[in-house]
Amino acid sequence: MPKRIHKDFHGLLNYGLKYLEENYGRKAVEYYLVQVADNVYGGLSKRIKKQGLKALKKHLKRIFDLEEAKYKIYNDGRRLLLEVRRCPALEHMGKREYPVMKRFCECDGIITKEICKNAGIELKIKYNQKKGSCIQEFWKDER
Amino acid sequence: MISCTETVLAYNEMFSFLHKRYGKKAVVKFWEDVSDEFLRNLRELVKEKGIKGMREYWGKVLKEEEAKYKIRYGRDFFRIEMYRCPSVGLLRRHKGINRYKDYCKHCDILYRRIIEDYGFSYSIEYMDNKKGICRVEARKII
Repeated sequence: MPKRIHKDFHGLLNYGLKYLEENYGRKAVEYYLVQVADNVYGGLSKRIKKQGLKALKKHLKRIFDLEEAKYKIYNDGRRLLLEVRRCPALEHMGKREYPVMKRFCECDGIITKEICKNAGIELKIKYNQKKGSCIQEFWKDER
Repeated sequence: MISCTETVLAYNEMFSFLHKRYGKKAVVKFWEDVSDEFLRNLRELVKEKGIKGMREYWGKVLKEEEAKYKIRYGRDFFRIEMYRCPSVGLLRRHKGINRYKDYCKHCDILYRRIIEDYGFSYSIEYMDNKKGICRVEARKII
């Protein structure tokens, strides 16, 4: 049986980010997201550092499968490519007609960037928030 | 993407972040705002259906969160006996997380503001904050 999940937590997170931006400004949002990346995802960064991109692939597969996202993930050993065709967070908030923060995807990017920085890997992200899609590419800089 | 299963961890960080930078009042203000603005669905349910609306809301949410709990209700009361709060459990299990010291307090502020607006008293008894055991009760004021 699939694990039950409370999808409305996506709405709560979006609400919190919007609140922070409106009351304390963009810089506060950035500082907060870096804190989240360091504390919540510090363990993930360590695993990526130790095990390489397969640890990141395992993490991404776990969460996107759990959320029943429409996505593809490719790994050729040197690079990891994640193609999200329908973001579950944006899809849920769209269904509930929540006012989604304009920089919602950008916020996600700040966290991902910090996780990668801590893990010593490079990344490139291209978002399309309107469509709820994105392409994220990860690789280890061997230089 | 922050998975919805990880939001509680990010939410906890929000409390710590606000407290550290802007003080406890900023945390309380945030909780009040979440209650007034984000929890409009609960407000509507309580306003329109009273105890039935509370059953509807928490019956769904606590099931989705896989809490260990018991809901009891009667004509004049609604009670949640929480034996294992899923949020507290997640914060306990996750390495690297420092749980915000007043984490459990958000449930008091978030729900009291709504419940008390519609002719009910609201109480929350924290039996064991570390384990996530508490009892929430709404009672119709007659």
